[in-house]
Amino acid sequence: MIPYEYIFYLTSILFVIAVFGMLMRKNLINFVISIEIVINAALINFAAGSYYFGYLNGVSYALLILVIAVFEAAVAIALIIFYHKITDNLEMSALKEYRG
Amino acid sequence: MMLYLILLPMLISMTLTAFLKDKLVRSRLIAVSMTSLSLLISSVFFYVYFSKDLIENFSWFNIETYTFQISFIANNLHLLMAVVVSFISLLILIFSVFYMRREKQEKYYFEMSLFIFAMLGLVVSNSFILFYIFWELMSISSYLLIGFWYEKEAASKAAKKALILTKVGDVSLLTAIIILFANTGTLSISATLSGLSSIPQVYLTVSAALFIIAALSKSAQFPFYVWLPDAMEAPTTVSALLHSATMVASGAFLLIMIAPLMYVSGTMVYLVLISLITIFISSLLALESVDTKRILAYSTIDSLAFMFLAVATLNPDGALFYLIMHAVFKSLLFLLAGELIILFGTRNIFKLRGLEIGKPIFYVPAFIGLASLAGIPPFLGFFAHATLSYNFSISIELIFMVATFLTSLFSFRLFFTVYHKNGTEKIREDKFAIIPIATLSILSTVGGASLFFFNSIIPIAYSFDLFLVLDSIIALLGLFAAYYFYSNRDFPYAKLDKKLKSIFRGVTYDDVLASTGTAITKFSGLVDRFEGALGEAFDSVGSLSFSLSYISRELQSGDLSNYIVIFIAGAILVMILMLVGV
Amino acid sequence: MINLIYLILPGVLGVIALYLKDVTHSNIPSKSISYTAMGATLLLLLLGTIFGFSGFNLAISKAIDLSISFNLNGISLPFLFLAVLMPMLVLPSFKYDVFDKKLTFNVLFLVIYVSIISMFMSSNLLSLFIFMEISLLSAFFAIFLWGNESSFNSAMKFLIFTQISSMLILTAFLMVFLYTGSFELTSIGAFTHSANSIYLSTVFMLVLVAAIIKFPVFPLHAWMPGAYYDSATSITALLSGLFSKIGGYILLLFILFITPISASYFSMPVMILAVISAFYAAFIALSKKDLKMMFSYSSMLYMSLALMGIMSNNAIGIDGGIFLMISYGFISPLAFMLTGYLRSQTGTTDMTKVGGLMKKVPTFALFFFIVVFASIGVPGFSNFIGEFLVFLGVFKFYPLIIISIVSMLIATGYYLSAVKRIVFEKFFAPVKNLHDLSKSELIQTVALSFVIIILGIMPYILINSINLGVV
Repeated sequence: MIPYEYIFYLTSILFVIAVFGMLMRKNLINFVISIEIVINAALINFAAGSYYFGYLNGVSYALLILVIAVFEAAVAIALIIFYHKITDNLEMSALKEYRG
Repeated sequence: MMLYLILLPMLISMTLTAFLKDKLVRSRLIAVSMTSLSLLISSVFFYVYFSKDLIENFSWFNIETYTFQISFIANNLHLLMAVVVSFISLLILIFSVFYMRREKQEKYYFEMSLFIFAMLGLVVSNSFILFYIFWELMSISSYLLIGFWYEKEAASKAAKKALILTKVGDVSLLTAIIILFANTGTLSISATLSGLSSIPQVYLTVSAALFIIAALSKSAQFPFYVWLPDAMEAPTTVSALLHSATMVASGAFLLIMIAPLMYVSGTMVYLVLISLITIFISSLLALESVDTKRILAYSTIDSLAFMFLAVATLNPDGALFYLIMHAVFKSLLFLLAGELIILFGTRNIFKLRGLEIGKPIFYVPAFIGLASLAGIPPFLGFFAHATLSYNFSISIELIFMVATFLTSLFSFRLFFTVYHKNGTEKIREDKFAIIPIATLSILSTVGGASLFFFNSIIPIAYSFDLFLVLDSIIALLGLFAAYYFYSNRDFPYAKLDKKLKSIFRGVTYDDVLASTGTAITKFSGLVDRFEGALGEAFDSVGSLSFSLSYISRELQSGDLSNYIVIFIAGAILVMILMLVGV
Repeated sequence: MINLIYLILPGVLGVIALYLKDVTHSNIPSKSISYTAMGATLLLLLLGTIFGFSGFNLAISKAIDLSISFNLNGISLPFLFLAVLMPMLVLPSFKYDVFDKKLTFNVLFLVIYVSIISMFMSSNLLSLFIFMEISLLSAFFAIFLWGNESSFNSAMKFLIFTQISSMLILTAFLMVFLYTGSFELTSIGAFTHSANSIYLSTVFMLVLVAAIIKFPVFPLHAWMPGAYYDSATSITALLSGLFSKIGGYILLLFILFITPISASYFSMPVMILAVISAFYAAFIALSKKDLKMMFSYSSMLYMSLALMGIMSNNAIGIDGGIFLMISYGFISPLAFMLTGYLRSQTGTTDMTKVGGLMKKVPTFALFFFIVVFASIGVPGFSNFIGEFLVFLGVFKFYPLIIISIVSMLIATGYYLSAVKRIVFEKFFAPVKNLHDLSKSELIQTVALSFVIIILGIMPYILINSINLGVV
């Protein structure tokens, strides 16, 4: 059995890459993909943790996150499609008018 | 008896002249009648309270344990002054009927009534605060009267200068009063004078010095004398009353009244010095003036310095006698000057000379007045010099003789320059003018005899000694010198005068005053600039907060990617902090 | 017995009446309603001084000890006298600057009037604070709405400075509450009167700094030139005549009733500060060429002298400080009213552009003389008594401070220069046709001069109503 640390390194690297992606990507779809990767990294961590430490809590957390991630991705993609329909533009830098 | 009755007529006069138009009731009628009433009442009081003392106290207001009282005093000294003041005021008001007949009546008589009210109140008040109130009211009425012809720039400048300089004295007087009140707990002059031993010496000296400064400023002595010559912008009757006989004498009166305080304070030697300096400066300035009223103004300063000299040599009663006599002949001289102004239209002695005035009705009173001023027997001044010099030491006597010579010289310079041997002018006399002048001239001639029975009123010491004889001889010498120099029409008096003028230019330190004024203005400009800088400092705090807000406003850029960056950065920060264990 | 609540009833009814007038669009002039309200209050005050006052107490919240309670303490009567009488004599000046929104002006005026009277009557510190805040906020609007072009900046500066001082005062009040558990003056006094500690000294220092801002006194006076100069004539008169006393009143409450011992420790430094401030204001007033600015800085000079008197730690000085404040509270409205008149007639208050006014408008010159003589302390006017008592009290505290009397000389200097410039000498002005004081202006100036002279001749009217020991 491989030591727990390797899985941890995997998920952290995944996490960092994905966060980097959130920050750097211009396209909105890429942004959503990065968010998914972040979530999945955390998911893997939970599952591996439950495997290694023998509690089923991790698996239940992982299932929960999975379901919620699916819904969240669906909502995000829906919003992006709607936004694309209106402005025909998928650039992040166009979203500048968050001021109230 | 109610001493304030002396003041009541003047108060009535003030109110009536202030509110009634001249067409309705003649203001001069009100003023003259009320002044005569005051004279009557003061004489009655003088007679009734002869050699008795009476002090009346009224409580004005009190704060906790301190009572601020108004008190009046009736004793020989004060009531005599009241009689003299009201008498001279009455004569001058009568003359004003003639002199001011073309001017705004209500304003003039109101301001004169205000002044007479203040002066009468001053001489009968026994409470320091009351004294100060009347002192200040005199300053104000003097200001208003000097600025009577306010459209002339010279008059308004002179009024301002007079008030500021006398205000210096007022401020010192107030400080002295406060020092004494804080130390004795009473405002009553008589109580303070009898309780002098309980006051620490340092306060006695300081308050005495302040009293002296107040007296010097009010009586136009060195270094405050510059306001009096300029005050001659006032109508001549004002100069006669205020600036020769009464107001300027009040400084000397103050010192005479609180003489016991002065003598334990050890400041008298300085007063002698200041008086001597004043005598010389004023005599020399009188010698080079060409304006009748200016010469008389300088002679007033000179005479007042004599009074201060007497006080300083521990002879307050002699000073008082001289004060009363001086009031008589000085007002006479000013009234004559006024007569010349209104009949001949000029104040310049050389122009008057050109008009060749020589009728006896003009020069006889002038001679009497000027002879009194110079101290020539048997006129008033001679007897006044007798008591004045009672305590003089030898050195002071010598200096005094030089002063007498100078006084006589400039007096008769005035006489011989203006009056001509053969008069060719036309005259148009008015009875209102004649009566006061005649009265005063007669008094100046025979009044000297009062010296002998003055002793019963106020104990006075006089001696007819060698010094007095020498003094009168020197006065006569001055007369002849003036006759020699100034009566001879061909003598180059103009060159002599010009020479004197150039030498003594520096003595009128008007430019010193002007540069002080400029310095103060510059300083206040500096303070103003500092204030502007202070205001800008506070404003910049405001703009600092504005720029801070500009910076922090960038945080709310509305840019999604920005927000995400910050969000992630914040999340990472929180994680690190949790790890570290905060 | 007049219950103190009656004193504010006419004002409140006046505000309601003005609101009704607006709703029904009636034709009654707003100013009549204001005058009626203020006159009724004055009448009630006079009746009260004859028959006596009774207190009023309405508890709003026991938990934080908030209650509207009106009770006269030893020093309220003079300030009440000023607050009730003076605004009525100031209101006529509104015709110089208020050309529109007259209803709003009257409403604001009455609100200020009522809140300041309530403030001087309150014995509950928290309600005192609330009333003070109401008046200050109304003042902000009053300055801004009818001032000249730069009035917004000045109003903002005024607001920020006075809000800082209000915060300091609130902090002080809260600290007192935490110490004694009550906001009522009577119970606080019993607790803290003889106590002393760093805590109480801090409380006093907070109030002191707040008062320095409010008077104003150097160095925290930066709001004053702008606020006084840029606002309407009547508002400036209110500011200088009424609002500047608020700081003094609260300071007095602390000195006399709440923290007397701590106050005595601060006397010396504050006196030195007051002397510096007096000279500072006097020199600046000397350098100003504009009449309104000169009067503003002159007001600061007299407030510094009053501060000096208040902190002098003896009864004469404190009575003198109160008297000086009240007396100047009548002189400065007269002064500002004259500048308003001058501006309305000639379009300028610049002293270099106008001259020789005695020839054309002698009545104006007469009242200008009255203002000048009253300010420099000529006996017969009220300022003399105030100044005399202040200097006396100050001397008793520490002799050398008497050097501040020289500031009176400087005051004489600039006042006389002003007289020489605009009253004496030849007539010149931007406008040739000058009308003398009109009837309403005459009533106003005569009434104010009357009060000044009466106070000067019979000072015991005010002095007997001051009772320094009674809470």
